[in-house]
Amino acid sequence: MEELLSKIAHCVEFGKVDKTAPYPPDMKGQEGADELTKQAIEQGIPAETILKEALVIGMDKVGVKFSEKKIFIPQMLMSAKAMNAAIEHLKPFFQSGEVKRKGKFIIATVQGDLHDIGKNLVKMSIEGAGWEVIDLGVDVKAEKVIASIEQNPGAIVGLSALLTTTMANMKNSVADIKAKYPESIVMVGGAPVSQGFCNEIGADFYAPDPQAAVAFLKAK
Amino acid sequence: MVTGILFETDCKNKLIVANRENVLKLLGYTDIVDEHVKELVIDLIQLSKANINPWGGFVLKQINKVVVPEGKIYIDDLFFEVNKTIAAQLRKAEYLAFFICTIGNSIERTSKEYLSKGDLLEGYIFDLIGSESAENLAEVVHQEVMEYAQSGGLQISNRYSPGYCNWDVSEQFKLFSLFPSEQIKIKLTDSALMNPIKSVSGIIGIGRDLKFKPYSCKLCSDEKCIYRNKK
Ligand code: B12
Ligand code: SF4
Repeated sequence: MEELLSKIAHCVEFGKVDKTAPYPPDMKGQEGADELTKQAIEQGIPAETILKEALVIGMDKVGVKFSEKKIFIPQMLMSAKAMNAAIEHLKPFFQSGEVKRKGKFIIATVQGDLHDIGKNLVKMSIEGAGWEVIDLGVDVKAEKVIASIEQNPGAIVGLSALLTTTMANMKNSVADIKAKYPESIVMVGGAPVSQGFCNEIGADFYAPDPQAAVAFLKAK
Repeated sequence: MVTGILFETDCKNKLIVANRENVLKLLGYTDIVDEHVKELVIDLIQLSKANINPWGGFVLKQINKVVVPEGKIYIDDLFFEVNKTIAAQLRKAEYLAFFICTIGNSIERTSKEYLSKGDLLEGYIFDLIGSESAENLAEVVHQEVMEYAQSGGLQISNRYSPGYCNWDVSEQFKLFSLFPSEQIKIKLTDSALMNPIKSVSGIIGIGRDLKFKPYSCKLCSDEKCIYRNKK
């Protein structure tokens, strides 16, 4: 069991998705996160063990190497893809409630803003850290976020904005969310957003990049 | 100079798509490049060519006055609060070319399709290619404005965009008011966002005694700016 788990962690760390995937070149033809996770489940290894002792460990290593600038965004994205392939096999266990994820995270690009890519990178990293992410998309009104909190009590919220004009909508969204759910934790990000702005609008945390967001969630 | 009408640029016939080295740089690579990623970038740039539908246009306006201490440029019955830095660079301008350009939304759509299939790296690279191509297109439009100005014996300035160099992005509303909305291929939303996303707008000064100068970034704190110290 140990060996299989460490093989899966290795596939996630190096972005080996499945047997047919050409990447990384030195693992060509070998089984990837997809096949190995399936085998692990067939062997009766608990899904929770696979998640925590293989997938999250692999992604942790990726996060460390990325912040040490030993790898770049492409490797991180390949790792996330391998992780997702493995997660597909764990989904039934999430749905049945057999495996609990670390928590729920609601993510949205604020009203009036259509930027998607930054939000998606954050979503991917947080999923990789073992959280369930509810992606509300772009141009999202505060009401929609509030409705989602209602359905997912205790979920942490992440808001993204890429223009100074839509930062005004971010401010209003945070105010609306806090008015309805004063206890909720709201994280903000996006190129023009700063720690100062985060303080000013009463959000709880500013993350300049996905790694900082994951570090914050880990401490939760 | 013919002022007040829309000039559509001839960008269709110019090479706009992103260059491989720049995309690799944006992915973080400087010297050592992952061969797999390099090949992927080459392939996706090739695929992107059919996905780029460039359109760009500019409108020339005579300047009434540039007031540097106020950071304002007066045109018709409007004034643009470009702030002191930009106003100082355009002090000697007689005309302004207001430009807008876009590569369309096809690359953006492709990027989203890949992302939603789970092909994260491909989706991300398409997005970068889109951004780079939009920047290249702005360069092409800049060149066309230069050619037009030079044909009348005039010089041009660098280009400046709302949202950069402390020029508020909400001034996009004034900029777009100078364009005939039914003839342009970009929509400005209520939040001053251009749709398609991969679009660029700005101004270029034109005048007899104008000099092309690099941006004056020494006093600016925007470390992430792509134009920082660009010649
Ligand atoms: C590439 C780029 C462009 C490209 C592509 C645009 C696009 N966004 O797709 C082009 C050339 C077309 C462009 C155009 C413009 N741009 Co531009 N652009 C950029 C640039 C250099 C990178 C943006 C990007 O795609 N980054 C990559 C993604 C992955 O990063 P990201 O979205 O920031 O997300 C990361 C983090 O912010 C964070 N994050 C994001 N969301 C969240 C949410 C949470 C909860 C958390 C925790 C973290 C987090 O994590 C992500 C991953 O690391 C930025 C400056 C910069 N260096 O960031 C300016 C920037 C976004 N642009 C800016 C401006 C002003 C413009 C224009 C208005 C200029 C103009 N007048 O033409 C136009 C607007 C276009 C439009 N549609 O309206 C400003 C916006 C600020 C402002 N003043 O309003 C910026 C910030 C530059 C600046 N002045 O400092 N731009
Ligand atoms: S770094 Fe330079 S070009 Fe960029 S916003 Fe600042 S002054 Fe303008």
